[in-house]
Amino acid sequence: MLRIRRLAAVVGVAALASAFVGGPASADTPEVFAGSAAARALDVHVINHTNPQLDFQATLGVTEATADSTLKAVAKGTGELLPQVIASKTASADASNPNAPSTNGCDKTVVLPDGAPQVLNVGIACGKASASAANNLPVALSEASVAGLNLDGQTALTTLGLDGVPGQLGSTLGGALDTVCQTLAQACDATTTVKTLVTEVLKTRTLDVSIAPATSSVVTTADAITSTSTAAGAVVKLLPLPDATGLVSSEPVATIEVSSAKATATYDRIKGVSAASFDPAVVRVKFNSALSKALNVPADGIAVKADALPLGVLDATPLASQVIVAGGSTSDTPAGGKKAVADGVTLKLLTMVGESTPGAHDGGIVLSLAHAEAAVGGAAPVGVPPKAEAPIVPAVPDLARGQLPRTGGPGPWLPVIGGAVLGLAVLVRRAVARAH
Amino acid sequence: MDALIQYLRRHRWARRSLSGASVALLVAALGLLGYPFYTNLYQSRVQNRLTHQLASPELQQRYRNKSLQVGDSLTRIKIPKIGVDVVVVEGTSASALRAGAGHYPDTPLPCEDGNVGVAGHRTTYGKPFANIDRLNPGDTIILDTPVGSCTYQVERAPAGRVLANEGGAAFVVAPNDRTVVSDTPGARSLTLTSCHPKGSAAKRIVIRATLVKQGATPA
Repeated sequence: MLRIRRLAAVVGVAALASAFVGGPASADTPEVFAGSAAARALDVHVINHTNPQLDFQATLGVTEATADSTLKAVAKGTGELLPQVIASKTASADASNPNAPSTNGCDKTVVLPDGAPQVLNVGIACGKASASAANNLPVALSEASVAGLNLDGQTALTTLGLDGVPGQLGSTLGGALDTVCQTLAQACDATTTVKTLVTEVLKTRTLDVSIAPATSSVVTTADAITSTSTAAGAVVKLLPLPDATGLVSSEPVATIEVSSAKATATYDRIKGVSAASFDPAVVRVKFNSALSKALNVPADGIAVKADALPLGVLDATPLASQVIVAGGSTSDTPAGGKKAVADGVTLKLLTMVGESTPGAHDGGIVLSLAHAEAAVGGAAPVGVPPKAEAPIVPAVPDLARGQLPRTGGPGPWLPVIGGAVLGLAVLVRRAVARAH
Repeated sequence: MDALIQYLRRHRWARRSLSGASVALLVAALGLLGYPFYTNLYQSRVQNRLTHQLASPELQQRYRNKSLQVGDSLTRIKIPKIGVDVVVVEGTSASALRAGAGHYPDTPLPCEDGNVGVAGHRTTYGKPFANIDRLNPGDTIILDTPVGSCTYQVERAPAGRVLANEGGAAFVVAPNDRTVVSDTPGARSLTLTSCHPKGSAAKRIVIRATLVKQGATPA
């Protein structure tokens, strides 16, 4: 998490600093500009307080793009950044090499830290990058993705030395679920369903995460330089294939849908001004239809908007999780540019697994998703001859206009109007004649 | 009135001013009265020139090469039912339409595959399409081009369109509804457009016809 922020900050500041290294614009100073963008699809952190040796962290799907007025454009897409660099593709273009070949590739062997328990199965990781500096307009585009991530509950328990957890959970949850049942004052569907799940939950694939790609781009046109970063969201399924007796459908117990987050920064080359904006992710949590009904939760789930209070999901169950949606911000860069950050979404999943003390909810897996940031800056040229005027656009042909041709008009009424005017003229003439 | 006359008697400048105004009004009245006649006269003279051009070998060659310019003669349109017999020029710009009727240049040439579009004045400039609202399904429209002739038969208005009258053929569309002259792949149709209602450009009236007969190429 910190590394990606540091990386993005370094990329942005370095790019902007390089653009302004010559100090403020002076006489005959050409235009300078720089843009950078960075995004991260997923940062995963498995926390185990019971055995800290088993903690590990991985960062997947990272993109960077930079372009500046020296006509240098660099794009980098990395399938896995930490603990090892996997499927990293870079493209770089400049004035001497304006059309760099685009590069892309995938790697199936996503690496987890040495000694880390192999509880997570990570799918193929891919990186893609292209860069161009043709026509004095540097452009950098990058994309990175990981095909998926899932956790096998039984393997996790065995590997992490938590074999006794299901039994503990069963007794712990007994009282809690009875309370829920009494509160609901109904047929205790929730109790039945969840109690069954307690015994089954860790025997199956417990977590399934589909992660959309992250993209970063810096695009220069004659009018503007635009940095854009998008982390395209994810779908997290808790207990994706429930086979517990009593479930009325094969829906996941809970589905957490994270929408995309986007950060954009634009430098207007005509006006010489920068602007930045962000579009934070929104999260929606949906429950299995049996649970929705029993827990009196809307069938279409619960929306968690940016900067809302953390939402607890399936508290007091082995699937207890928490959703935290951050907002975003825009700020001025030290060099006078603008920066936008969409802070992303944090999902604390299965917080009871590996917690420090019973009920602490500080264990489990922390997924940090949908983080995007973009920065841009520039200074207008001084004393440089103005650009040639744009070519004159040919007149729009008649047919290209929006209307069918006019073939009417006031023709029939003209004689009537003419007659009235003639009558008025005669009256005026007679008045003038009588005045003589 | 008497007060006005007394005032004019006392003030010579007022008499002169009003006298000048009366002359101006007279000129304006003559202009307004004569404008429709002038446009008809102008169109008549243009039609004479176009008739000669339509018969010229040079135009035939340019027609075959599809190198006609806006304002060139394109085809003669005959609608016996309403007494129309005018030369249609290429183009639908305001200046081209002073000839009375013009061909939408982004539509196929007359008698060719697709939807041929022709716009015509309903008032002024010979008002060739003054009475197209009187056309009924089954009426014929003949196009005589420099390289051949063809006959179209007026169709019933498409379902869902607003009919202009009880005849069932003419329908009314918004001025920006260019779909009526969009292509109809596989079909061989002719679309006539004009302003509606007569004397206004608020809407457009449309007649759709289908090719029923293709004549021999003139010698």
